[in-house]
Amino acid sequence: MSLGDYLRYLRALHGGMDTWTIARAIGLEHPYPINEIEQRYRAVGDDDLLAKLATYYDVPVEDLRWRRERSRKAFTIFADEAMRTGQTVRLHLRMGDTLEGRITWWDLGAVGLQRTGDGEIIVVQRHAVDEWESATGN
Amino acid sequence: MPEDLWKIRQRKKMSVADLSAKSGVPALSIQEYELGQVAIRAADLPKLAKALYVEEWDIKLLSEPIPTSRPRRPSRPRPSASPPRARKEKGSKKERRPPGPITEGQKVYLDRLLTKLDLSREAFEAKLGRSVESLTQEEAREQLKLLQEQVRERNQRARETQIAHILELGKKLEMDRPALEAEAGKPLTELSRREASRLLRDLQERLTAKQAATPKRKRAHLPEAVDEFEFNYLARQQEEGATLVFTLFDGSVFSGQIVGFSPYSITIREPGGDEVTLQKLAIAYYRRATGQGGE
Repeated sequence: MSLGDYLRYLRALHGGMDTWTIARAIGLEHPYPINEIEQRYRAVGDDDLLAKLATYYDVPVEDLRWRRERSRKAFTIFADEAMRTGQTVRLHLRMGDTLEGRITWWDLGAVGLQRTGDGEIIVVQRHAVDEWESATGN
Repeated sequence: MPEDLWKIRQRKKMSVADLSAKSGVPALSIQEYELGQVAIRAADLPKLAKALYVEEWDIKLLSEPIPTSRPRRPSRPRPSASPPRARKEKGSKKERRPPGPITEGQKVYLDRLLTKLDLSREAFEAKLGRSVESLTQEEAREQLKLLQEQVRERNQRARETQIAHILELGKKLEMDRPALEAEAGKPLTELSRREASRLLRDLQERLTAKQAATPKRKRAHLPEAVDEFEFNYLARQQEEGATLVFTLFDGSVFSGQIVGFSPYSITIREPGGDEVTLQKLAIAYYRRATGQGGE
C-alpha cells in the first residue's frame, strides 16, 4: 500500500475527518501537503511532515517512510512491466497473505491476478498490496 | 568639413561647462570627446549639435586633441597665417547653409553613416535612384537623418529577453552558447536588436524544421486514472449473476451476488437475502466462488 493509500486508510480508521482538521492538529496552515501525499501517485512528503503525521495517527514514522518509497507510480510501473512480459509476480498483502500469479489487467483501483495453479482470477485491491516482487525464475 | 568639437565650442565662445549645461551632456564626457579619447556617442551628437547651433555632420565624431601650445592671451597678436577666428567664422557661418548642392561635410558624414550600415555609396545611390552629388543640401539633410535613424536602430543592443530566448532555442537545437556565438559571429551580448531578431528567426525556423522531422512520441498508456477494468469485470459478474467471495482486511469473508457498485463500494446480496455494502477500502481482494468458472 502506497503512502497515499495508507494515509487515506488511517484517516478512515480514525473517523474519516477531513484533512483541514488534521492540518490544524499538526500545526499546518493549509492541508495542501497532506492532500498532495494522499492524492499524488509519485513519492511525495518530506520527513518532517511524515513525523507529524506518524505522531498524529500513532504509527511508526519508519512505516510511513517505507510506504513513501512504494508509491502508486512504482507499483504501476511494476504491474505494467509484469503484464507486458507475462512474468509471474508475488503480491504481499497488508494482512499477511501472499498471492502469486500473472497480472492480466490493472487500473486505478485494482489488479487482475491470474493465480498460479488454478488459473483463477483474483481481483486484488491496489491499496491492499504492501510489497511486490517478480516470482519468475524463483 | 566636420570640425573638432572643441574648435566649434571655442568658436562659439562657450566653456565646457556652458556646453554641458546647454546640451545636457556631462562635462566629463565633453572633455573626453574633445581630447579624442572616445568618439561622440550617437545619443549625445544631436544634443551637442543643437547646443552649438550646427548640424550634426559639422562635428567630427572623434576629435583631434586640443593643442596644448595654443595662444592664451588674446592681446598677443596672432600670426598672419591664422586670421582672427571670429571674423572668419562669421563669414563661414553665412556660407554654411546656402541653398544649393550637397556640401562636402554632408558627403563625408553620409559616407561615414553608410560605412556603419555596411552599405557602399553605389548601393545607396541605386536605392535612392539618383547620385549623391545630385542631392540638394536640404535633400541631403533628410537622407542623413534617415541614415542616422538606421544607425541608431542598428546600434541598439539586443534585449536581455532576446538573448535568453536565443539560449533557450539553442538548447532545444542542442547548441551551447559558444556554438550560438559562432553562428552569430560575435558574443551574444554584442548583438544588436536587429541581429538578435534575425538570429532568433533563423533558430526558430530550424527548430520548426527539426520538430517536423521528428515523429511525435507516444506516451505510454498507463491507465492510472482509469478504473474501467475493474468496472468491466464487476459488470460482467453482475450480468452473469455470479457469486463473488470478498476477503476484507480484518480477515472476514463475505459472499454474494452483485446488486450494484460504485468506485467506492460494492453492494452484494448474500445467500440469505441480506444486502451488504462493502467499502472498497475495507476489501483486500475478491474472486468468483469456487466452481463457478468464468474469468
